Amino acid sequence: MNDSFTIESSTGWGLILSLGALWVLLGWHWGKKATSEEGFTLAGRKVGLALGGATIMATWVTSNTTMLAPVFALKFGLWGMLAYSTASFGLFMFALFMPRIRELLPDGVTAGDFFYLRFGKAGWTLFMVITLVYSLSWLVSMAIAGGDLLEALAGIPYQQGMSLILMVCVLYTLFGGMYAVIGTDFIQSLIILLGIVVIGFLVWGQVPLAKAHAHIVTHQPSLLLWVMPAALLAVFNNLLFGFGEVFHNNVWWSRAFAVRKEVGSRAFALAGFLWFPVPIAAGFIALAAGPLGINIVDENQTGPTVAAAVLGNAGLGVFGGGLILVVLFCSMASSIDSLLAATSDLLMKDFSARVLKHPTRPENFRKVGAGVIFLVGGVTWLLALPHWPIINVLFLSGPLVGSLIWPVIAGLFWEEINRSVALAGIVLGSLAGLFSYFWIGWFVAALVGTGVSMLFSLTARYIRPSSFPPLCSLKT
Amino acid sequence: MISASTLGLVIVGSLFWVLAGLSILVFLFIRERRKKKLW
Repeated sequence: MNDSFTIESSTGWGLILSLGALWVLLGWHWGKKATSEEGFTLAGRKVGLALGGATIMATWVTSNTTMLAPVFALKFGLWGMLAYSTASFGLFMFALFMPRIRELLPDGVTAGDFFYLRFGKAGWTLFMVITLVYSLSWLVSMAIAGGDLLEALAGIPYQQGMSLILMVCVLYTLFGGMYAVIGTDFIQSLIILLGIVVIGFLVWGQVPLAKAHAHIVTHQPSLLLWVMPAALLAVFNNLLFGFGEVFHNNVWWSRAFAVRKEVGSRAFALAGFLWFPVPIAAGFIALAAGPLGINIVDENQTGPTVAAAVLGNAGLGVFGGGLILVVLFCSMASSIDSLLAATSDLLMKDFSARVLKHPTRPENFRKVGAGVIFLVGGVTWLLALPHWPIINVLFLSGPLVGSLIWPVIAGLFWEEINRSVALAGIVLGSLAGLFSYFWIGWFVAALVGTGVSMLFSLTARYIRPSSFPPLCSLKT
Repeated sequence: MISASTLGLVIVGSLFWVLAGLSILVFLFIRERRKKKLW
């Protein structure tokens, strides 16, 4: 056993099992409301502003937000934290799209419906490939982060911890569908926000900002530069990555269809408002490492390491370690459950109807839905087991999702387009972005992917465009 | 170079912003629960 573990493994097991049992019980209880397929996949399309805003915010707060924001602060200073915060702009933009989405697809269920309607089978296939690569790598990276977290904080072996976290999320999503996801997301979002506030104020109390500033000026003055080229590129890269992710992924489209029509825009705007300060509040604690004399051994554990030291200094001991574990567990669970549900919806609705030509019978929704969630969970578990660096695939997918930004905007707001040129832009934008990822750096990949795709989309608007098909063509 | 006051303003502002968001969420929850419009 390593002495640096902040809590005993028995405490870690106890906390995750207790919270897990609560989520499963609540999921099962709320799941009883799902008496139809629409209830199971979209919570009856009647979700209000509070639950809608909270679930959108909680889904976007992942372990990447709480774990990587401190790393960004450590590497890029203030600009690094602000760069991360720009990911919330995708939610603000999507809020503006909401009225048009509900007008275009009043009975829509998945993002696949939109791509099939606007770009046909070829566009839908391209979308499915990109979104499945992205969603699965996001899901697997969350499971891996969960296993790593339990190992680092509680000494629970990686494979056991990863399996435990994934099993809990699969179980409650499987029992309760979207009702379970949205209900638990609300509680998880309260825990995340409260945890960030408590830890943030404790850090502020122990390290006066003037002292932190003086320490940075002496040891890492570059972090305080107004113009830091790599950090400024990271701002735009993150902004576009966020746009691409939010605009295309079914996690957001399923919420767009689940919230009540009259509160849709406000729910996304509220989520953006709630999310914006989170990377700054969670990230700045990294700046306290130097003044507190904390030696960061593993850069990726900067946040938990500093937080554990600060909570320990405050005399919170085991309680502090437990608080960090619970906050990070909630930030992972709120994303894993949403991804499980949204990816399963894509497979259950889109794949079965458009590829297998065998749509799910309405009376079998629960059996099929549970089966697909179990399948997606199983694939995730298998991919997470070898502990491959899947997170790199997630970062690599930045240009892929970036190249979908303009086609989504075009599909929503333009009257006509040259589909072939627009789709070629997605393919070439993805390839150019991947090329720049390896030859220049991660901080330009999404920029290049988006830029190339934008050029093609704008060209597609003026060179031999044809009208989009009528709404009734959404039949599979 | 970014001054101590600017750094402080952004960081402390973000903490209070999170706190405000939390309060808004709880307020909305209570209001919608009373109106039976949670979901």
